[in-house]
Parts: sequence; C-alpha cells; structure tokens
Amino acid sequence: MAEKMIMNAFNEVLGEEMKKDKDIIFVAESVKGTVFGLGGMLALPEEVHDRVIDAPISEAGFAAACVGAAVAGKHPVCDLMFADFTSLAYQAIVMEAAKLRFVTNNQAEVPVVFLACQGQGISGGLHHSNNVEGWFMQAPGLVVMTPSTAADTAGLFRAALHQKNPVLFLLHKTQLAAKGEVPDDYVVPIGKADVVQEGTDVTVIASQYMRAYAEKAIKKVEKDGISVELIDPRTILPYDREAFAASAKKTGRVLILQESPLTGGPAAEFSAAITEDCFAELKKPVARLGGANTSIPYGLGSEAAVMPSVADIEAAIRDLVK
Amino acid sequence: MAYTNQDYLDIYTDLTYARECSLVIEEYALSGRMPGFQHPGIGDEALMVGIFSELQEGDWIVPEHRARPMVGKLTGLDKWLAEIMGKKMGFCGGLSGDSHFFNKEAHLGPYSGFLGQAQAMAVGRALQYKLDKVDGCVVIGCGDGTLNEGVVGEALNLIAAWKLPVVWYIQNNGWSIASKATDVTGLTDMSQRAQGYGIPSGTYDGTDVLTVKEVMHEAMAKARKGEPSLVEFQTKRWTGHFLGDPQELYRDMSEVEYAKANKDPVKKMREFLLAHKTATEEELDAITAAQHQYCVDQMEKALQSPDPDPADVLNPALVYAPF
Repeated sequence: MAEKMIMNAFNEVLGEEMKKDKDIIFVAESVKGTVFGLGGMLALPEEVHDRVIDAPISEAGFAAACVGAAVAGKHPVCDLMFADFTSLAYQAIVMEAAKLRFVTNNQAEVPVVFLACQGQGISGGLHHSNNVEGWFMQAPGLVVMTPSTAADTAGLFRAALHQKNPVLFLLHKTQLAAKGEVPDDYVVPIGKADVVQEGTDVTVIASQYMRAYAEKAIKKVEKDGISVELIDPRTILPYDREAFAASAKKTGRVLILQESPLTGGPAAEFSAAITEDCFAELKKPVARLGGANTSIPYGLGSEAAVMPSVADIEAAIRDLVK
Repeated sequence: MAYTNQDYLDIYTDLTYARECSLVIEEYALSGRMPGFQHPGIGDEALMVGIFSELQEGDWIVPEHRARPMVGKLTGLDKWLAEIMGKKMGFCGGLSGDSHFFNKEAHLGPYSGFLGQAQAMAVGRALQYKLDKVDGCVVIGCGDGTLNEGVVGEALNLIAAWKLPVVWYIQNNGWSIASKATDVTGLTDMSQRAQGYGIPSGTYDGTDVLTVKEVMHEAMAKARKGEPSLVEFQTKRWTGHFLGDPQELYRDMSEVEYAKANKDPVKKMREFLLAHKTATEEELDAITAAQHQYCVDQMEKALQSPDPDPADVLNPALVYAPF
C-alpha cells in the first residue's frame, strides 16, 4: 500500500507489466522525447524502452496498425492522448477491434488498450475537452473503463492487460496528479462498481470529474442529515447493473451524473436499467444531471456554464428527499 | 527465374482453376442458385496466381478483393464458397461473408468491409513481423480506387517510417467501381503514390503471370530483409464492378473486347505451352475439365451445407472473452 498520483500509479503498472509480458508495446505520438513521454510523465524502466514506439500524427493509421498487431499476437497500448481523437480512430476501435472476434467466429482476438485523457477542466477548447465514454457504449465487444482514483486506475489497467478483450481506457485530464492509496498488486474486477460510501437516503452514481463535484455536494447535504450512498461505476461498458439496483432498492431515490451532454448518454442507460429493475421501490423518478446539450466553449469560465456545478448537484440531491 | 515444364503446367493449372472458379460462381449466381453479391476477377488470373504462387511458408497476405479464387485455394474452396454464402461450414462460420475474413493457418487477413482498413491493419501484422523477427514478409494489396482512402496514405507512411517488411501491390484495372481511375485520381501512374511516401516503386504489366511472379519474387525477397516496396500491376477488369453490374452504361466496351482478345492470361499461357510443346491440346483440355469439375463439386457441397443456427449468431462468447 502506498500513496501515489494517478499518473504514477498508471506508469508503475505499465512498467511492471511490460517487464513481465514482452508482447506489450506502447505506441504514441512524440513519446520518446517530450514531457508527455519518456522525457517526463511516462516514466518506464530502461529495459522496456525498445517497445515504446513513436508514431506519426496519423491516429486512424496507427490505431488500425495496433488492431492488426493485436490480432498478430502483440499486446498494444495505443495512446491517443486526448479522448476527442478517438473520433479519428473510430473505425479501428468500434468497427474493427470491438467486432473482429465476432465476425471471424472467434478466430481473431484483439487484446489492445486504447488510452486517452478525457473531459473538461483545462480550457482545452472544443476538440480537447470532450468526455467520450457515451460514444462507445454502443460497441458490444469493447470494454470502456473510467477510473476516478489512483487505486482504480492501477487496478483497472492491470485488469485490462490481463485479459483479451479490447479496452478503451479513459483517464480524466484534471485528475492525473490526484493522489490516493494504492494497494500492492491491486486488480479491480471488470464490470464491478465501487460503493465509495454507504448511505440510506439517496443514491448518487458518478465517476471522475462529476464524482469529485458530487463528493463536495455530499459534504454539504450531510450537514443537514441527508445520508448519501455514492457509487462509482468504474466501467461504463459493461456496467454493474446489480450494484445500481441494490442501492436503488435501498434508498428509493437516485441521482445519476454525467459530464457529457445529457441526451443519449450513459445516465440514460443506467436510468432505464434502474427503472426496469426497481420500479416498485423507487420513491421518485430517477434523476439525471448532465452537460448542457451544446458544445464546449473555450475558457474555464465559459466551460463551467456547460457542465453541472457543485451547487446544481446539491440542489438535485435536496430535491430528491423533499 | 528458371522454370521446369512441371512448373509451367502448375502455373497453367492455377490459372485455369482461378478462371473456372470465377465462371462457376458467375453461372450459379446469375441463375439464382447462389445468393449474395459477387465481385469477380475474371481476366485478372495472372495477377492473383502470380502473387499467391510466390508466398512462402513464413509470409502473410491481405489481398485486394478480386483475388477470390486464390483466397479460396488458401482456405479450402468449399469452406470459402460456404463463407461467401453465409453458411455454417464457412471458414468464419458464415458470419463474415466475403469481406471480413480471417484465417490464421492460411496466413490470411483480417479483411474489412471498409476499403483501406484491412490494409492499415496489415501494417500491424508487419510491425509484429519486425518486432518478432519473423522469417517472412507481409503482402498487402489494394485496388486503384482504395488507394485514395486517407487511411491508406497513413498506412504507406507508417510502412516507410517504421521500415516494415512489406510488399504493397496495387491492382490498377483502370476502374474505381464505376469511375474511370484517372477521373478520380490525380495520377495515371499510381506507383508514384509510393514515392510520395518514401517507398521505392514501379509499374508493371499485370496480365502476364511470369512478369508478376518475377516482380513479386524480387520484391518479397527484399521485404523479408526489411526493405519495403510497392508494385503497381496494370490489368483489365472484364466484368462490371459486381456480377450483374450493367457496365455498358459507363464503359466503352471495346476496351473489354480488346483485353479478352489480346490480354487473356489463361489463353496466353495455353499458347505458350503449346508452342513449346510442353503439353498437347488434349492434356490442357483435360486440366480445364478437371478444374471445372472440382469447382462445381465444391460449389454443390457448399450450397447443400446448413445455415448457422440463431444460437450460433447470438453466442455471447463471440462478443467477449472471459474477463
């Protein structure tokens, strides 16, 4: 057990696993020299540096190459840097990686991890700020991971590398330096949510940036005696339907948070599942808060306008217990 | 290269097999006995036989989409015909059909329903070959039309920049579906694309099987040593884009008549063998009859085989491996 930043928790697992599994390769743009790569953030042991591959600026091409390399027996970690760029690699991720096992009748498998940082919070502007997890919920065959803590980052990334399905591994760009306790050799089972804290009055379901905001809102409402059960999904696909249902049956009041625009996102899927499973026990309709149905502007002040705030979340929790 | 008489006869047998395979498919498809769209390579036998006959044990191929009879030869013709009919006996369980196939034992694919994607994924196979020092090369094929996909440009650059063991061949038959290649491309000599990305290249006659073999033999030897190259083979497409495509609507058919009269690779090989007294008319006719019957037999076998069950299609093991 040790306290680590999310970025370091990730690097350490990558380094350990690359030493053990000689088929893991790490493919990214400008990875050798810069502060984002071996020159800084990506600290990896010397002995694995020959499997760190510099890619040209051609996301569609090198993502497809990583799919092909995975079919050929390698274990690529394909770093797309910003989650928005998954749109350039959409074919490789959704049309090939997620579907090759099926269409080849289980003869091809694609053990590739697509890595990217998502979300708002650094004034990245329109094309460097999107939360993309909802885009990939409709890709059966793909696993979508969204860890919020150092422990979950280490545990889910290790789990991703220990299995054969393609994974989209989404870190939040505001959380890379966030610290947390990480147990040694930690593995998180895929598709299992984390009950972050137990409560009796309201269930809140949130991950990453929205979880951080929810935790602040929860502290405020607890002062007035409202007891909140906080659940972090950890994986968006597959998601822990049973954990959501167990909590919803206990509290009868559910709030689901989502950073991306509200319409058609993961919160809608979770809400439908909870309503199907817990209709008799729900005291109020399942509530959702999400990003505004618009695009992300430049500038931190304007950015805040399109995302739920701590105050919005607090008001929504209070509304559920009225 | 030096060829024995038997080598020449084997080449003729392959050319005849490829021709008869396409003709049998055409016959069964146009008479309604065989379902689905077909994209024949009638007239292209020199290209497909020339390339596939140069594959050695350690090599891998992701071909362009008209080399189908030779794909069938790698997988077993009955299993390939069953696959393109969506039958359970197909080598991908009937789930792929003609466009998304993969066969590990045959060192083939994966292919894709998106033109250009299979070629980009093949770059990954070549990367694995380089990293694992595999004794072999990766042959990647595309048509003149596919050459214009953006991801193909990215793939060519990756091959050049990462110095991958690849021979990339372009099957330039002058038609990108129903558009003249030169109307939708800025080049007439497609091999210049490779030079744009830093890969040595050349343009050759794809209707002569011995030319194709010589060119591929040399290029593949270089690739196995880690030197990529690109070869453009100019050929003629005899049919429309797909079987039933009324190509008279967009094509000057004298082009097709000329090719059939002067560039028929099966006829050329036959005349060569007769001229050199390597075989008699009767012996060559016997080869044609045998190949025709073989293709008919495999077609009947595939046609009579069962469809997949719904349970096969809905098998969850096809979606996720155990976590």
